[in-house]
Amino acid sequence: MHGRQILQGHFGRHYKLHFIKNGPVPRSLTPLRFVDSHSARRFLAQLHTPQSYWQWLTRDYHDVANFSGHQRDYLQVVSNWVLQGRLRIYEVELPDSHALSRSVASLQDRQGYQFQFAPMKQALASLAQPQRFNSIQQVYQTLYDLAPNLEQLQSVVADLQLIPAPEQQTYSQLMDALAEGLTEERVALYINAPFKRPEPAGAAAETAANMPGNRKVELAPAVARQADEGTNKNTSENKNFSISAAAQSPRIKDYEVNPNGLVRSRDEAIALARSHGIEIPDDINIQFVGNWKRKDTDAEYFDVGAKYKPDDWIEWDDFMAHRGEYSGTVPVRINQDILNSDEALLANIAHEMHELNSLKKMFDERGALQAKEIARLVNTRDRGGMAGNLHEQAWDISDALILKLRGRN
Amino acid sequence: MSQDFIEEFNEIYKLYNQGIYTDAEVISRSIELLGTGNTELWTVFPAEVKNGIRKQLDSFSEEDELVYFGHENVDAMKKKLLLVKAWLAEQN
Repeated sequence: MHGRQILQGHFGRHYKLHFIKNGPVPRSLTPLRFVDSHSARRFLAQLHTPQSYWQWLTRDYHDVANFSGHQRDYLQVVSNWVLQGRLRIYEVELPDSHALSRSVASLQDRQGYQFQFAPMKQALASLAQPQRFNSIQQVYQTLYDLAPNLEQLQSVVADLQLIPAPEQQTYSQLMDALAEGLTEERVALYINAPFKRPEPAGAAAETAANMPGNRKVELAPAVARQADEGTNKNTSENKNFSISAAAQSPRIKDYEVNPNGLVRSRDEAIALARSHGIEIPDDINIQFVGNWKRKDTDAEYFDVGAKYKPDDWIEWDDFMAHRGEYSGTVPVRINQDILNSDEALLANIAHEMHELNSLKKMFDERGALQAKEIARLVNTRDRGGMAGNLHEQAWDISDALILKLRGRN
Repeated sequence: MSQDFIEEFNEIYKLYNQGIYTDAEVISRSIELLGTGNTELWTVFPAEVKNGIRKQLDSFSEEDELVYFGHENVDAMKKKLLLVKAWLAEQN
């Protein structure tokens, strides 16, 4: 019984005691605060647990060594830990509590996997680990894999009480609310595999790889493929490729100028990028521009500074030019001064194309995205971008590409 | 100084006509340039750019929250929007 650190308090509430050494908790949860150790002690004393529990809890710690026999006040030791922040107390909801049973929503995907959504307060009390996401894109990918219909989505959002009047919201608004809840770790997702007869080892591994959440998040296809090829080789540079630790800025900032003063033409630059696996669709128009004014970057697209309100809808068409010889294409402008550096060309084109190819896929699936969502996906964090978003992934991809290039030379 | 801004606008507008800037980008950049206080630029702007600027500013008020994709500093851009909007109101 002692092993379970969920304790009951007054009014049927439950609390989890969590040592910080045991790792982080979902960031949406906040621990109880106490002004002094007396108030912490008063709180702990009212929890429904025998005195021996406090002795058990302190069994592995030397703090109690100074006490002996009847002098040992284990409850006071624990109270001090709480005040010091070493041990934290979170109010939790038990999976079997009556109140919570209304707020757990379950859906099944086409392969029979059960997706169970629950308030994050339940996650601490549960023995099962909720799904972890490395980026907002992965959250959306998982939700698209699930492909709930409007009615199911309304039901899940209503059960979790994510937004008022879900029945009046559009499908995209409901998806955004659920994705936001998962990203901000206010909502926990548990994915349970369907019961199947045992399969051969190879098939089981295949099944695990295709399990929702384990399925690979699709990056700009060709670049992702190249990154994969890199990870198959045990070279030091490939260890730098990591989506889960996406960089806010490039790790490589000084790109090498080409030897012998080689300056590429536009066509050569595009061919070079393609030869390194960067996918540049026909509706993307990469142009090299002189008299470059920006100091913060050497490439840009959709440079729209003051038009959209957060809930405005944006379509792929809004990224396109509508006149001249390049009408019907998305202009990507690059500083022509970098035509003398293959590294700079590859890094910039890989970065922009990762963002654009990923966005295009979303536009193809959904038709339009709200301005606030695009900002979360492609902006820097100080402009509302989310950690691990397409912009940060793109730095990892371009860094990996350059490191690989250097390893080859 | 003003001549630099005129040249910068002319270059952007030339690229826009080739399809190297989008409609929204050319309006956004024009507001940025005008927001530097170089209002002589207004006389250089073609009618379609003037109309685009007016249309965008008509639907903008100080309390609006805006989402930025551009390169300009967020606060600086909002200041420029307000400045240009006020200047245009004075002209009318």
